[in-house]
Amino acid sequence: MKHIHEVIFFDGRQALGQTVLMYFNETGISIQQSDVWDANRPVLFFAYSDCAVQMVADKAHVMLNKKGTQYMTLPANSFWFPELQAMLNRSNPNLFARLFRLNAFVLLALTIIVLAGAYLGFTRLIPMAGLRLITPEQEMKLGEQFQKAFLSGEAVDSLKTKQLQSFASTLQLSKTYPIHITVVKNTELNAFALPGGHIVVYSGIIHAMKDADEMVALLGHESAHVNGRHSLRSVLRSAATGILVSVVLNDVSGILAVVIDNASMLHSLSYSRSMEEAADENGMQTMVQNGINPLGMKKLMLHFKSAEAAMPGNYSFLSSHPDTDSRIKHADQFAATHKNSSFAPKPVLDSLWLRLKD
Amino acid sequence: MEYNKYIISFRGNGLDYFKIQLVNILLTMVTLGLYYPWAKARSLNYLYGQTVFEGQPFVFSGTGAEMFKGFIKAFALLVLFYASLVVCILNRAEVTGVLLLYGCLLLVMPLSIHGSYRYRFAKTTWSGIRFGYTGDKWAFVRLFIKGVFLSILTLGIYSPWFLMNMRRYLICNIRIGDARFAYKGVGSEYFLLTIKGYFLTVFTLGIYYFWWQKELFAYYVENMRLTRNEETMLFRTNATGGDFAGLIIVNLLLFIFTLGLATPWIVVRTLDFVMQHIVMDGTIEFDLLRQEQTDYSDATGEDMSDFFDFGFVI
Repeated sequence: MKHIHEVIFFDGRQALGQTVLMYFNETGISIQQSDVWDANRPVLFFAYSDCAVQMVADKAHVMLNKKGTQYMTLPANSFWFPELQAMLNRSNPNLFARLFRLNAFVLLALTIIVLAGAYLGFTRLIPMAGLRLITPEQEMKLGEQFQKAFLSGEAVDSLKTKQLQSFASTLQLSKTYPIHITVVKNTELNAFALPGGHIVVYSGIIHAMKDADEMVALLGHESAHVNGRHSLRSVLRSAATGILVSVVLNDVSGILAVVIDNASMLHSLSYSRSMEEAADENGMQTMVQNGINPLGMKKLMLHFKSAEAAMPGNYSFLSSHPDTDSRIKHADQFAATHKNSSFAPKPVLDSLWLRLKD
Repeated sequence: MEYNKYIISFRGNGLDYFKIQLVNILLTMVTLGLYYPWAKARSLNYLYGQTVFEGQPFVFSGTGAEMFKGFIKAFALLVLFYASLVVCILNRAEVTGVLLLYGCLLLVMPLSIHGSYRYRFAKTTWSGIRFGYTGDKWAFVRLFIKGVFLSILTLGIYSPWFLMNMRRYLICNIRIGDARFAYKGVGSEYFLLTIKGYFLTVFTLGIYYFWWQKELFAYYVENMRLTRNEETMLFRTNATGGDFAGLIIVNLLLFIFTLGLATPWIVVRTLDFVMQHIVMDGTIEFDLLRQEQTDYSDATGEDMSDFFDFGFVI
């Protein structure tokens, strides 16, 4: 018989390997502890399904059971080893082994593609599902908690809060959310929206404004964030990347998490820019609906621009915003389409504004 | 009895290990993380399998399925633990909750280490002979709790003694077949080593750090021995502080300039370094080593250690 070969066999009782005869066919590996193969003598039979190959340098170690206690070794360049390996592969189809045989660059490319796919999938699917599942009522409760957490370290100007609230109540800002405004004593030119209708305005911005239409522009912009559920979207997005990093990539490699984190930061920067552009656009629509000249948006932005020039980097309202010039340009274009419309004076709004400015 | 020099080496290469990591990442992502236990088994299988002692490789025969089951159990325990904590807090029993938290941690940590040791060593074989860990669960828990309390009471001064007691207990209970490992490092020496290393590193503006690492490595390695009946094998190291400087600095540069992509090569280099710098000699006839340790397939402790991110304490 030509398929009989000599191998070193470890029997799992003692560490010393013994030279034995080995025979393999379609079903498995047979081993006989003798010098000459004798069909009448007992053999040890090992089914391929229990076997695996461990290659170390130029030697092949064929594990004969899953416990690692019995195995045989042979030189990897034995002429019959490829045949044995093919048999083993056939009876143990294994996705890992098939992928492992790919070229490292192909694997790297594949990994990057899947990683990018997982990232995009996660950062789209989770916010989408979240926006469906979370009702505006739940969002309002969430916003209340956010607001409490934020205001705990700030000085609230309760008089101006009341005045600005009554200013806002003359406007139609949101159909779904009740708009709650809080004025915070702070010289910064800043304002932001929280989920569920809470808007925080810094007193510095009120101080900088001249006319009522600028405040309408600001409120229009912030309530556009509210109506578009932009804060909730951002929270859900960062939760999605958080889940991706901590659950799916946990322990794979620390650096991978860092890479994803940075990619996500860049990505969310552009994401928030697109939200800002949408808020500008919708804010100006809100202005028109309320009978206010949308040119107020441009005036508002000019304040930011001059403040930006005076103290660059100090205005967080601007940090994630598209650059002010292009926003001004856009506001100009929008206002141009309403050049011929006439906007009636708003005595109530103006008087409320004057009281606020006092 | 014949005197022998024994050879251990690491034969793995960075590219293979890199490819294993890539396939692992790929499959882990596609399965939303469920592949993780199998990925871990693959990595361990490779790293053990490429470590060759006296011509034969180590074999890690733990499977993803076992570790997955362990993962589920460890996860269930963790959920139970959090649930009882939440119940305590909701019932305004914060003090009970905090006591429960620390009490559980004090139990869970040593039990996880114990479980991890049992599993890892039962699944490691060399020349078909199984390793084993024979430590007693509750003896280790007692040792651990005592160590934690004394460390807290002495503001950390006791911790070198605690670490050495733990290491001694763990290593003295490791077996391979009918041979047993031993460790004789003690707290006082380790304490002096730590103090000396710390101050010299500060005085030399960090340069001594590499020599400190060398001394710690030597203290771990040279206090170890393996005995079988009257035969022994001693461990020594020939690594110098300069060797350590080379290893650590190059690893750091590799990591930084490849943005971490070279991590598999760093792992392989480090293992290669460790194996190259361990010298073993003695009278043990490894050919006569006999199978004596039993199999053990419960990976709960192994997975629990993963949750707590202990790493593998050896």
